[in-house]
Amino acid sequence: MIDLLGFPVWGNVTVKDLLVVIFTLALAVIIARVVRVSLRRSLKNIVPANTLVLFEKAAYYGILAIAIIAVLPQIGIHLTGLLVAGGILGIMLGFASQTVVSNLISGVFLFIDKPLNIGDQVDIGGVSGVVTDISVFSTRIRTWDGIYVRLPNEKVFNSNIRNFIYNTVRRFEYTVGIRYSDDAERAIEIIKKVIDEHPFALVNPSPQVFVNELGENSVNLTVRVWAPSQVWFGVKTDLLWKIKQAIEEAGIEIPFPQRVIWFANESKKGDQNILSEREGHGS
Amino acid sequence: MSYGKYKIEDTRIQIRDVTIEMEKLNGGALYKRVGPGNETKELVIRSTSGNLILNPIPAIFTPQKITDFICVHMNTPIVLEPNGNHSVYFTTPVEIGVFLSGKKDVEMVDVFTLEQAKYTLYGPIEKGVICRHHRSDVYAEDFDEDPFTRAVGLLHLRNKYKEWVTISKVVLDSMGMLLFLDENRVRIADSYMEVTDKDLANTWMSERSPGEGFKRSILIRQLVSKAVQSKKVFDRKKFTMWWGYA
Repeated sequence: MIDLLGFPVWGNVTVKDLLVVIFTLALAVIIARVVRVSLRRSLKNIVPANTLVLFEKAAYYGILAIAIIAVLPQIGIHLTGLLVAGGILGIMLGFASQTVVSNLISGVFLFIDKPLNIGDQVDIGGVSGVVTDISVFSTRIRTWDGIYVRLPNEKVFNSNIRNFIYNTVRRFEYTVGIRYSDDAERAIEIIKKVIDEHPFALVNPSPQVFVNELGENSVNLTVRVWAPSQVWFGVKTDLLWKIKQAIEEAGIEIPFPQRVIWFANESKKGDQNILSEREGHGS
Repeated sequence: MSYGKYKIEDTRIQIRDVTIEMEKLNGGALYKRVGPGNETKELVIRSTSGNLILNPIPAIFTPQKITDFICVHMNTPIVLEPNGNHSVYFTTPVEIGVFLSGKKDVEMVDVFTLEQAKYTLYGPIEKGVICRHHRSDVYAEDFDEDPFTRAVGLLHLRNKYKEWVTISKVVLDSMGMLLFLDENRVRIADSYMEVTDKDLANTWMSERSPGEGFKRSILIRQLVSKAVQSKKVFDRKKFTMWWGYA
């Protein structure tokens, strides 16, 4: 038996060496399959399907490659000679694939950092829209007007990302101007009632309505409302119109910008009229 | 009461200002709902053997479903001593679900509410949970409520924390909420709240009937989980109130 194991197949390679190679490769295949299944199970709800396939393949073939490199010396193939050539090739490939690798690494960091998910409404470096896909190399966005935009992950990673629905709720704000002659407290009461009647204008965090500014043409009320992130835009557009209707029904007007212009002659007449009126009041 | 099973034929159901009419067509019926308010809904039902079912469901579907949770704010807070127990009756909002039942399958085709829906956030802006908002009085004894807008439930409170606690809200997972109805009442299965630490409590719901003569309403969890194909909804047993109960 021992003689059989020591029997040379070719050169110095014996049957034992061949068995070691076969056993190592078989073990590597088993390990690679286990890793692939584990990856699928653990990442299937986190990573998009196409990216998951990439991860699986990378892990599977990576493990096999390591195993093959490890067993090659066992059958008399030494890779030391290839190292110099491989090094030069590596440098060339490194330069050529710099952007690809950069995008890949950025993609991996995006998966870890998770600043956005598929379906999120975002603004990435000035590109606004809905995230339709996040792959290892790029992120795809459908802009508000339906245009497909592909952003390399490196750009996504280095850009300022504004995710409009990352938090559970978000706030929006209006400025509502009313005439100086209108009752601001009543206007506030009416606006609060309209907000209270809207299902998605949240009770908590509570809405705010207050006089914020005595403007040139109007008393400006600020209205701040919190709504669930997934429906905030509909609530914003719906509420604004309801507020406008409600305050107008109550006889409160939203004034147009106004300017009082005095002409020179009219101004003199006007001044005289004012003076005579004052004298009249004084007597 | 108007809850129950109806054959798909010429039918008229009146619930307050809401009228549901079915007009028999060849091989089905035309379903039409008018109200509440200006709301209308029309459907063509193609079925020869199915039934239409009106059932109370947890109030999370109108105007659109954005959450599974209901936050009940108690008008009178309850102060509980360390290791203390207390049980109170309270109300939760219900909506009216219209279902079609056929061979081994039930589908919700319409839903409406007779009460103004309102939502709130439980927890912080970043991680909180959107909940249907409801205010309720608390009672020592069972009582009757309007079956079309509210269900009565018994809440068992337990304080396992070493200090006195004040409880003024409870968040319930509607996916675990079973509704039961008899002739003129709608009840939810008993719910439980266990305070385990300062600002930390667990809530869960029983699946037992609240008494004899009650029939179980359609379990909304089955419909939702079918829609999202998620086992997670079934696996959810407890809700942890991480952000306080006062």
